[in-house]
Amino acid sequence: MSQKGNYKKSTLLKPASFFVWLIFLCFSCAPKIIRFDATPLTISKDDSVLVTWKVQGKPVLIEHDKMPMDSSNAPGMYFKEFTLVVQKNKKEVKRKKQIIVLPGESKDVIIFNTTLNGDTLIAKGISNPELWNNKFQISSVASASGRPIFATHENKTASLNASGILSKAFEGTPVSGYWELKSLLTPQEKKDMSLAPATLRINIIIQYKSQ
Amino acid sequence: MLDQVQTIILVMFENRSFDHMLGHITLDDPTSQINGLKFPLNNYSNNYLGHLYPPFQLDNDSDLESDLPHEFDYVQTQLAKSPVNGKFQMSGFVEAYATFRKLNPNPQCDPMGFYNSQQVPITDFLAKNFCTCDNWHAPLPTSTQPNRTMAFCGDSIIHDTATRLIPINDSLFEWMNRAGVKWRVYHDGLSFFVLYNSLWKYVLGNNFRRYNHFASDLLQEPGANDPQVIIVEPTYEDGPQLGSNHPNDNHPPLAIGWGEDFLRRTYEAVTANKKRYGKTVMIVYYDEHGGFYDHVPPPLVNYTCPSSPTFTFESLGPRIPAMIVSPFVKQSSCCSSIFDHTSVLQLLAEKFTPGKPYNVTVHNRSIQNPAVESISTALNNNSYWEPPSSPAQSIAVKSALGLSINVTDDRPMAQSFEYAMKQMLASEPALTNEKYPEIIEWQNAANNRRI
Repeated sequence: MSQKGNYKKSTLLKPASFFVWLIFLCFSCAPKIIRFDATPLTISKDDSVLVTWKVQGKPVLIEHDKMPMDSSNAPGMYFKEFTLVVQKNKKEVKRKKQIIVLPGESKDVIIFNTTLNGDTLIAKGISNPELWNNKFQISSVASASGRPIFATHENKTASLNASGILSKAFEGTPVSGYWELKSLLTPQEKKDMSLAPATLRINIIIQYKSQ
Repeated sequence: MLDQVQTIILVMFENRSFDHMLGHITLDDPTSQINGLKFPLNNYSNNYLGHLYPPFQLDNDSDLESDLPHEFDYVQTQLAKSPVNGKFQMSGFVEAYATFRKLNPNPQCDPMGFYNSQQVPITDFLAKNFCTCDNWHAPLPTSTQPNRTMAFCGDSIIHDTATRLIPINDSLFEWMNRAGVKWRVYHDGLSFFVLYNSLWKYVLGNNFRRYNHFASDLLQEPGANDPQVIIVEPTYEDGPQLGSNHPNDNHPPLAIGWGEDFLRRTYEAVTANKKRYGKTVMIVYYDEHGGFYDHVPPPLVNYTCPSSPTFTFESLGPRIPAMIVSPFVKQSSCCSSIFDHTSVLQLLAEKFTPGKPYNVTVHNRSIQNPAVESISTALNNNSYWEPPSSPAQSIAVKSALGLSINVTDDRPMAQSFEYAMKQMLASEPALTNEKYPEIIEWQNAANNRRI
């Protein structure tokens, strides 16, 4: 925990420095959260979270667990929520950080928006690197778009069939990093592009490795 | 039907989407005909950096961390038009928020939050008892100033919100004067119309009246000089806080409870005098979605701002919460006609200048495909029904530790209000002082607060 100091003893103020002080006072009268961080953002239930902050004012940290409204995509998942409230001069500001708490084995989705290259839909991007650390690894993947998908991740590739059968092609790779999903347009989509999907998605099974 | 309507009351709040305020109705009752949210909520997920962000119910009614992005570029991100199929995906609200705030969004971040019926008891009550308009969109996919200008002028020279006095070529007030319509504005705080310097002659005139007269004025016996159109304005979050320290326009990051209380007082005032209420249509709506998620893609409506250089929009904005409170609507009904704020101007033209459209822009919207319809579409009930009593429950706004939330003053809208107020004070000192005596008080308070 750290608090920014904002008081300094002074003897005689020169006119020029008076205005500097006035400006300083203007900005220092209100509570302010300069920085509020929590890491890692995804944990298993026995992991620790480091919470740090830098504020102007009196900080109070509130913590509680929160269940998601709809956990069908990730059964067993919940949030650990940290709320930092800072008070000063009868005013308060707050910031919230939510940590995802996952069971030993969990489900999630990788999804990106599509673009078109010839007859091929391409959905690619970097899975949020701030969200995942190396303790969470891919166990298996499957198409979640109801169509065949050719997936690339961590220099490995997988052909995922439309029926959603699990593939172990990416076993042991991290969740974060670059993903590329490709799928051919169907004959109906070629005739009517409004039928083509705006996203491609795959289901992922995630395994927690404590070491 | 329209000839029976004697008073049209317009109540416009700020910056909330339909799903954010009323999406809960279909979660509570999946048989409701309203187009709200339904389980599983994952079907509405936004995606950001490879992951899903579903809507979620907000914990309680307290101030949010910050305002949400809703300028044109951000709204384009939110609408997320697919380059593949050309459809709006409504999946970029989290991305716009993360970009706007320059942070990694929480799994449950504010744009995806929605209220339940207990958190918005008055809005929920009006929606469930009167006519909910579930296909009412902001007229432009952008921010406050252009959307309010469309609402009250039927055209907008500007396409964004900036620190400025807003230029206009015509206004609803001028239109009503030309049509011989009697009108009045009741303002709880500083009127939004101070931002239009060409309207100061009205803002400082007798047609603008403080909101604390609203209930008592409506209790009087109907008379020949009563206003036919009434605009009711809350106290704006971005405006100088005159009198009460509680803005109630629902502009984020403001908690919603103050606005709910204002809406209840307004409803109770409108329904107190049954003679008047029986001939009244009150429209409650929002200027735009404010950056909150909504799942319905806006219809394509091409509009070019008559500005130099021109600026073209290709669609309406996201849906906003809107209810019509009147005995002329069917009880507990839903109207899914496409509306935007110019639908109100269509209604006024049908009522007061029959056969003559409000203006070219409003008319063009009404004849395009799909058409933006008139509010009169929803006025289809011939027999009077008693307005139910509003919920009596107390409305509590919570802060995390019980203190008021600090309000920043650095947003363009806040700066515009302050700039307009100072300009008006300099331009018309006597009239301004008479109309808004608290301005001096506010100025002193604001100066003290900033030191």
